[in-house]
Amino acid sequence: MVEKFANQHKVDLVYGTLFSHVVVGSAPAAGELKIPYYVVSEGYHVASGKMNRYCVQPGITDVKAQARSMAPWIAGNLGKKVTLVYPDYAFGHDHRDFFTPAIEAQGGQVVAKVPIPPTETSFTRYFPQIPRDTDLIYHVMVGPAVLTFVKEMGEFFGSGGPQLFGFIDSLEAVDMGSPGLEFLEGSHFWEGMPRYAQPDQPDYVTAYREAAGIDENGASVNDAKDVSTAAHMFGCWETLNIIKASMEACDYKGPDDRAAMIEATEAMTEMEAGPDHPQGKKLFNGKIHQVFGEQSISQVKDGKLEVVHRTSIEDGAYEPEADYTAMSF
Amino acid sequence: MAFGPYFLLATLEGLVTAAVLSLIALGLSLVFGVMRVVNVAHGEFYMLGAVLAWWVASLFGGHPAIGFMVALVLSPLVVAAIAFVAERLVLSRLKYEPEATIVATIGLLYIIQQLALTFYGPEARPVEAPFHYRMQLPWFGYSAYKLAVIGFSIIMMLATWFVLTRTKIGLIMRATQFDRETAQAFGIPVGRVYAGVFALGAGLAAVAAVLIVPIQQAHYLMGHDPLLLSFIVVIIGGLGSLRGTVLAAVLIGLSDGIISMFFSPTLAKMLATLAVAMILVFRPQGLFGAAAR
Repeated sequence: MVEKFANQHKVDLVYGTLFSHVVVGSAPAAGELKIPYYVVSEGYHVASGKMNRYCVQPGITDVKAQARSMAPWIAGNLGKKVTLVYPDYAFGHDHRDFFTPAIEAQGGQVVAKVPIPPTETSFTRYFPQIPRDTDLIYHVMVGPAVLTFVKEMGEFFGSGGPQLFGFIDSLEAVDMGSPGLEFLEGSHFWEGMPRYAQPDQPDYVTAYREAAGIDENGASVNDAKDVSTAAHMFGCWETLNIIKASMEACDYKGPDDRAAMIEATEAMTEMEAGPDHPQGKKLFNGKIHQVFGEQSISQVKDGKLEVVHRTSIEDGAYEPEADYTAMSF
Repeated sequence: MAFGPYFLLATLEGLVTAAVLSLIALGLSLVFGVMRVVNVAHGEFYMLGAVLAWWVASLFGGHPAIGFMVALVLSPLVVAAIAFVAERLVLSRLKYEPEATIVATIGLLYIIQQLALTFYGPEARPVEAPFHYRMQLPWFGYSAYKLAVIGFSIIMMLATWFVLTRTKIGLIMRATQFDRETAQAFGIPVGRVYAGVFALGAGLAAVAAVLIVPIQQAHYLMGHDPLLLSFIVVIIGGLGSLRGTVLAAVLIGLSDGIISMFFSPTLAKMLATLAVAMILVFRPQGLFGAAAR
């Protein structure tokens, strides 16, 4: 695919929101063809240093930072004995591998891990693996069957089960008013950017939502049933702005300036919240090609998500484990 | 959770799988039994049933049961009509040659799937269940709708059995299955019987799909897994045998539910595939299939 873009369509760069295994699979081609690859995927693979100098993730935080920043609040407010329910591939493994040490650092523990194959369509059979003494279920699910997952969890536990903390991926693009989701009332979710318009949101957020065409419930202005992926899609907007800023900074003329463009992105550090970065302020680490930012924790109240806590950039920060700038182009 | 409740939940889940699977597999088995056609597009008729159910249900406001009931009647009829046309336009012109029909139904699979993607889209969309009732057992909660699915599936199976064994249409189908040429010599319109059976098979898959959409969502790729499982069921039960299909569906459904829960879903699929291999080696006609004449 990357080769097709580079050789057939002669594109300047590749940019995309993709599953982590697609990113891992296509990154080497981007490196060989020396074509900038702006990833919007959340996986830790870019920050891990295992990709190459042409792969950057400047518009969305990675799972390692997200999971780390959630742990203190979860341990302080919801409980310390956690069961993890996650999809059984790289993205879910990132959650497992990074949340476990983070919650342990807060004096908590992971009492059970329930991996679920990403192609699964029926979930009830997995819930008995959740120990009865668990305080909290940390759930993250992706794919077309997410609504079944959450509904079956509701059928299994009712409203008397353990506390629930979910990554909104489990319900991304799903109407919170869907039948069978009533049990979620009071439970918490991570959101990259809030789906529902918040009362105190700045003007640039309102402008961004208008430009993206979503109403106050995060659905399309043309169809109230067409719920957007509001918690993640800001990543595309912000990445496009970074591509623009990088091209301007290096005075981009054409494919010969590709390396200069990557260097321009690497040189970025603080990004102020505003029209270009509506989700919030960010800090880019050029060494690991990964951006860090604030996260939202929202609670379901009257069937809508209301932001109850916002983590700081420092909550998710970690020591870099690589240095792409030392690699040659 | 203790062993008892754990086992109960596994059995319930297995029975729901079995109920839906037996309807789908019955359609596949009928088509093969009567027409000797391996319908690779069967899973897509199932998907089409689900997509149409969503579309029909979304047209009706008011109590969700209204939209659901209309979908339960309309969706299988529309799917059956589409299958009827496909049979007349494609399969009958290939003279039901086994190799050609396999290739043709593979083509049909992709055409239906891509049409669904184009016009319905990549989203997974839910149909509201006709009623919401959550049974709270001492150890876990369970959806009463899932139990209703089992009940309705049993009614459908009995109805199919009745049609096949106690009515004139059923007699004609069985006669065509037994010996096509003799049936034709006795004035049975074999071509129309074939088209009818193909439509009936697709309609049964669509009924299963309407039953499942309140539990899972309608999605354009949802036909894959049921197709594989139905082939497994049909091979184990014996192609063309109603009794064999139902028993094999219950066997596969229950073992899938129980093995998945106590060990892993992957192991359940591996064991089912192993069972197919063993059947093909030691009893190629299946548990209840008649040996080739």
